[in-house]
Amino acid sequence: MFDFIQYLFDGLAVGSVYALIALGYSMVFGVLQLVNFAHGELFMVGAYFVMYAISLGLPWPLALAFGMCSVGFFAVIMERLCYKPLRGAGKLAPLITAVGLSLLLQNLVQAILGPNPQSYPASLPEGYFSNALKSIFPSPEQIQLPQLPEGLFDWGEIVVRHRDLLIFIVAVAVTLGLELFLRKSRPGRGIRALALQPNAAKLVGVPFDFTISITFFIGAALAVLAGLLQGMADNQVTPYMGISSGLKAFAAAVLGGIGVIPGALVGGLVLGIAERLLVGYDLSTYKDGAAFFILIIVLLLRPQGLLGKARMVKV
Amino acid sequence: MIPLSDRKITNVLLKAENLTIRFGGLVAVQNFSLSVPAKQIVGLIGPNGAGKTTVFNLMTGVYKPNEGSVHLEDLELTARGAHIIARSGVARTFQNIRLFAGLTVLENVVAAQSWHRRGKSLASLISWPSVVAEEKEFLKQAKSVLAFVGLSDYEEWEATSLPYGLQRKLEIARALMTRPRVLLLDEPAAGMNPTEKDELAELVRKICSNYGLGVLLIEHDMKFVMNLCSQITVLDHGEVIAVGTPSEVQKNPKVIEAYLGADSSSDTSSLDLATREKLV
Amino acid sequence: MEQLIEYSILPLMLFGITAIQALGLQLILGGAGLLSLGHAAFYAVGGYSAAAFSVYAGPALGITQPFLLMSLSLFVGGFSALLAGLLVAIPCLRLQGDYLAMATLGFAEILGTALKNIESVGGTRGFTGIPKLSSLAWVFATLGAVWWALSRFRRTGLGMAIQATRDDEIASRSLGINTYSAKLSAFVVGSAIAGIAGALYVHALQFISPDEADFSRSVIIVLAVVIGGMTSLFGSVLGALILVAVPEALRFAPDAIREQRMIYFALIVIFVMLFSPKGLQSLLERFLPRKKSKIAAARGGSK
Repeated sequence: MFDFIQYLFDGLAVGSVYALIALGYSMVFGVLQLVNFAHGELFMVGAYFVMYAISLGLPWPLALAFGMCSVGFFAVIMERLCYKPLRGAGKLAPLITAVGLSLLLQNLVQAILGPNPQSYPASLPEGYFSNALKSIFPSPEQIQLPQLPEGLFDWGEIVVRHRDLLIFIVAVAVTLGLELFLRKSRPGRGIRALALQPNAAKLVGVPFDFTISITFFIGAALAVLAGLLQGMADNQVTPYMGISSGLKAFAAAVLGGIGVIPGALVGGLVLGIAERLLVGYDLSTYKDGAAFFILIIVLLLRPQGLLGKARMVKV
Repeated sequence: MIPLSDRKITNVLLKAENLTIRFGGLVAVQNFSLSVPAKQIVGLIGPNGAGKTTVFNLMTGVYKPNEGSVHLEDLELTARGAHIIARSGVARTFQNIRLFAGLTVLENVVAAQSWHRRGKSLASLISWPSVVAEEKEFLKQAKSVLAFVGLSDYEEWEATSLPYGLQRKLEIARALMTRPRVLLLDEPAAGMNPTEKDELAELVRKICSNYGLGVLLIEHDMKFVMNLCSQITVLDHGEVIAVGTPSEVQKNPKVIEAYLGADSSSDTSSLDLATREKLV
Repeated sequence: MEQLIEYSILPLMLFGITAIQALGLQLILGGAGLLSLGHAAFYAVGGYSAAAFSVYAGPALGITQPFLLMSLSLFVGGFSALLAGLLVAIPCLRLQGDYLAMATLGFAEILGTALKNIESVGGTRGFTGIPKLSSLAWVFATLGAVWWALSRFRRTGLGMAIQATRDDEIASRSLGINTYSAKLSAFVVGSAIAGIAGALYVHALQFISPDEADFSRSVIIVLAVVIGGMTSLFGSVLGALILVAVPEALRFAPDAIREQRMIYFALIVIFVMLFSPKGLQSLLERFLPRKKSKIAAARGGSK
């Protein structure tokens, strides 16, 4: 019994990371009904970006903010160039484009930074570009590595690491903040209006393109945050982390109810804990399959997800 | 309650009774009843947003009603799947034309009878003689339906490259190919010029008399509706406000108010100007 | 000269097998408008079960005649992939949305894990000791048969229903087409064709490993179909040719170029989707002089 409770706590951190990625899938799907397949790669790119920024000597809050903005704008540009021209061309075309983008990002990162996992403090591969960067940031001796708290809450049978709890709190706070943003702020309400009734939203003056850009920006920024947390927790960043965590986060979004913000958190946590339970009970070979099984079971029993509502098709 | 004058008519094919549907808190259609007899053209009119297309969607299984029933003669169709309803003999067209963009004009029509050939795909794969003969028969039917609506010259065209008016006719041909008993036309004359409208009216009459179908049509062009329909139902805010012959409906004060009442407010978007002009 | 023939047999065979896979995916992608990101998994299902059949079941049943054994293996490969396709697609296709793409991707991941843990088919080391039953002739005869059957299938009732469903589901349903079973049929038939390709592969190379179910293999097939042109059978085969020939041609190119070919393929796919959805096949059509029909004229004039 204590084992079980212990596993619940152990699953919090990884579940929270899934949740943060799932938020991006969920928001974009809510507004455009598009599975942004490249979203997982934004998480990967973000993890690298922040890792290098910190390794070049930037204090971590600055590196994070810088990473969120850069990857956020990158996502916005990606949407403008690759998805926007395909609006109205059916569902297949943007989906294939998204797969192409995912492939492109993954292979580009692999080609530039190498296929091997990187850890803190990471050094850029030799080359003109990195030399230029190093000349701009000349003092990497004074790196302030981001520190997650190392302490423990020790309650006898059950031990909870401070860092797991911190990651969990961050995820909850972000989800609540996002929900508040969507309900109270003007652009947030625009996003909700587009998700509910795109045509009516346009009629009442919601700026369509701008709102979609905001959606992509926020989704990407949260993925970067997830990338930082994941990179610190595992001290490892690889070009392939986007595709594996991306699929799981998508499954989490569907599980919680795609398009529903708190659903992403619930789905991510359930999935993270489920994976930890499988590992705990000696079924770790099936850990990576858990997401898929959960996806299938949800689609069979409750396709709108745990917190979702059924949608109406418009003719 | 409005007296349903169509109760006098026997030989009712399609019958909707007390249909109600709510989207969230909004009641889109309430207590809607209507009958379509064989060989008759029935009109469904009302201001924009009155719920006319929603009624079509309820009758053809796109939406499930919260209350009420739809029958085709004695066959219960309420809340059945859209394709089951179509196979039972209710065909429709769409307000915003929905042709198969990747197929030619002829293929669009052929696709509409694909389910008649269900389960025979393996046999047709190896060119089984009886299947080949059947395929030829279907092709002949498809061509004759195209000839009937006047699209013979366009068989090999890409469907969506047809001029607008012809696209509407192709949708009708496609619906006819399912061998329906009742045909639902959603604004068939929209975007047509007067000559095309006259041709269309003639076509709808022919469908009614040649094939013995019951036709229910939504239309904003009042001249078109008044000339063509024997019965008209008027819908406003999801509720039936009048039923009767064209002349009865035209004189009904509720109908005039429904169309002109919106004028007093400044909200012009809910008011169809063309409709109002013709009604007055 | 003999050596040259020897060297070219394997790439030719790989091209034929990739082309069969691509034809299967063309039915799913171009025919039904569905995205399968686990096509290689169905290929692996077919490959593994065909291999298991000719290694274990065939001899146990007393079937040793190579032609018969190969024919039955093809059937087993196709049928097992069809069943796997049903398993994945039934829950996903009942719904709106693009869950199929993700579910097929997940299925591939699970299958890879499962295959690594089944010792009777070699586990992580891969399945070895498969009899060599397949040949260039088998591959191209099958390719021809699949091509012929698919071009015929297009015009059957079900084939028409599948294309109608791709273009407009609501209109299709209003015409009596069961869109769910149309999509399901396209998906399982396409998956079965991948399974047949898998059966040919294992009996040609006498080996298969769990890596064949990898996402990267599925992506190659998607690339082939999209780059070649997903609207036609010819386009898919053309795409398969490109995807097999380019790495072969780059065999002696510098590492830097060879390793970055996925980047170029990814760029081409994005380019194709944005500017030329009919793929390279449409470019080819432009340069090859063809009889200009009324349709082509009408299409040209209207756009």
